[in-house]
Amino acid sequence: MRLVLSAVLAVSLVSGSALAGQDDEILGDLVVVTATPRPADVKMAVQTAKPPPEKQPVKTASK
Amino acid sequence: MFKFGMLSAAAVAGLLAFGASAQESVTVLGPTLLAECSNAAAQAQRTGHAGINDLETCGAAVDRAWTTARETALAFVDRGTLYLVRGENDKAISDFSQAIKADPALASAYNDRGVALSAQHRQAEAIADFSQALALKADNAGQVAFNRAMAYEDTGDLKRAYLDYRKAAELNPGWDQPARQLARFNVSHAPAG
Repeated sequence: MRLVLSAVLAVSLVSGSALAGQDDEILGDLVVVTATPRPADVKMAVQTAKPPPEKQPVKTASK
Repeated sequence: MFKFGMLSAAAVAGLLAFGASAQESVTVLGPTLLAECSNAAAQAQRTGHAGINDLETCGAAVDRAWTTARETALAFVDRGTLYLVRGENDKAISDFSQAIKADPALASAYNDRGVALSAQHRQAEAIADFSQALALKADNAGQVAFNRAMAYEDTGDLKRAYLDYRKAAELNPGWDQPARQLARFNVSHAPAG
């Protein structure tokens, strides 16, 4: 029983290390980040709609 | 013989007239409706207001059978933008999803759905959509990275938020918003060695 638990713990630690390594690769050497609250007027934005190019044919207009 | 020649000429003239009329309809009706819908969406985005008339215009654009999947998708994206401006987020998400179904390569549809999902506090799904928009090389990648930074920040993942604000600043150096947000962060680095 103890052996099984040890094996599970070892696998978990190895997995955790692998994930941590992945994060380190992505995040570089950043270790601590704090931030003051974001102002309420900062908003996400949709991509500005673009009118389609002129003179494109459509199916339903044919007679 | 002469009579037959006259009739043939008349028939040809009639066909030509019919063809010209049909051609005129094609070039005037189609693009105008989609352009009107698109302009309404752009204006709603600027003013923060979308009226019933705008929805009707884009509703007609959505209902039309367009030649290309991209046109169909753009109509849904524009109407989705109107719903988003009106705070009708469920309808906005539905329209952006229809746009993605019509044209899975339309990066802006993922970005816009991400914005709507984020408004519903569904940040994990929003982040997935912003990431997909970036993978598809969205036109304004700096804005998409900024949106994702906000979503990460809302989940409490400040490291990834910081990196995305930095990415937004790199992608859009003339835009001051990323730098303003970066100024709120206090970052430490691991000691060397």
